[in-house]
Amino acid sequence: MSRPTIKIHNADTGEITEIAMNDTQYEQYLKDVAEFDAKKTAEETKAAQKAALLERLGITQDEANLLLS
Amino acid sequence: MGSSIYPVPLSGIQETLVDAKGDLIVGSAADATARLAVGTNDHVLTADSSATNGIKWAAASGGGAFTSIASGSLSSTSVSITGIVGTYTNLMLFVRDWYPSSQDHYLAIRFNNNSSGTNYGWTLVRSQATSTGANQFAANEFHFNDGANGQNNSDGNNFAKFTIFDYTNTSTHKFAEFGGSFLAGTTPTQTQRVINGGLVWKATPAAITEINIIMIGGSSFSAGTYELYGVK
Repeated sequence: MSRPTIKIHNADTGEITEIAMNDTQYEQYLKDVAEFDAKKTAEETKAAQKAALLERLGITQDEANLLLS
Repeated sequence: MGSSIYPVPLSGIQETLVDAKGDLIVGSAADATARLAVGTNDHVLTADSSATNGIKWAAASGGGAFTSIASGSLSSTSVSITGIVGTYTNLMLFVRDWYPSSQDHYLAIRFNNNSSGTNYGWTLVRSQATSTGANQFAANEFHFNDGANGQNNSDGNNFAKFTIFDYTNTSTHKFAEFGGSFLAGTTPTQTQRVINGGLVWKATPAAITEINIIMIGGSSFSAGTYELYGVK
């Protein structure tokens, strides 16, 4: 699988290049993706827990907002 | 009532002095005229005492307080604007009409490609039910759509503006104001959200010479443009 590319615009020379990530950049990219996935999973888990709690309480999100306002 | 007799001038500026459309007749010395040939497109007339006729055509010098440093289209997983010279006081970055190739991925910004440590902190106000957001230096980039991820929708009308102050300073943290709007939510209830806030980059103080515009999440920019200006 080919590595993702990055675009580099040198503002001093005006040169624009689009190249495959080097090892350091690719490592950072994988780290960013892993952090994004973890954050998304956490958000989805939290949303599911919230929905389950609302269902147990037998109220809607709007009703919960009203209670908390 | 007598008639008037007007003398015929014995000298004057001859129309043959000009040769082409746009030529100007200018004073070259006391009681002397000369032809100044039309200049290059978009050049402006500039006084210059060292020029033959004291005036010349020249490129406009910056057009005022804003000078374009770099502009182009967004593509790949990130765009790095490198080689930012330190001849201005502040920087202004505009990012327009971007959207990710995958749902929920979002725009992020780094300075000098700094991703080690958690040097980015911000606070923001956003026009949605959860109206504020903050990150107390727990991120290794600035998340523009923090807490409300981006839509892979070409009609997003996304816009982001950053004003980066005192970017050449090598002794203090860097501060930037940001604002804009973006499309968020889940189809079919996507909504345009307005955002405004400030961010601090607290890495070891260094002049900003590089700005990284990143699509976080693993996808690429499907569209969009960037414009970076120097502000004096």
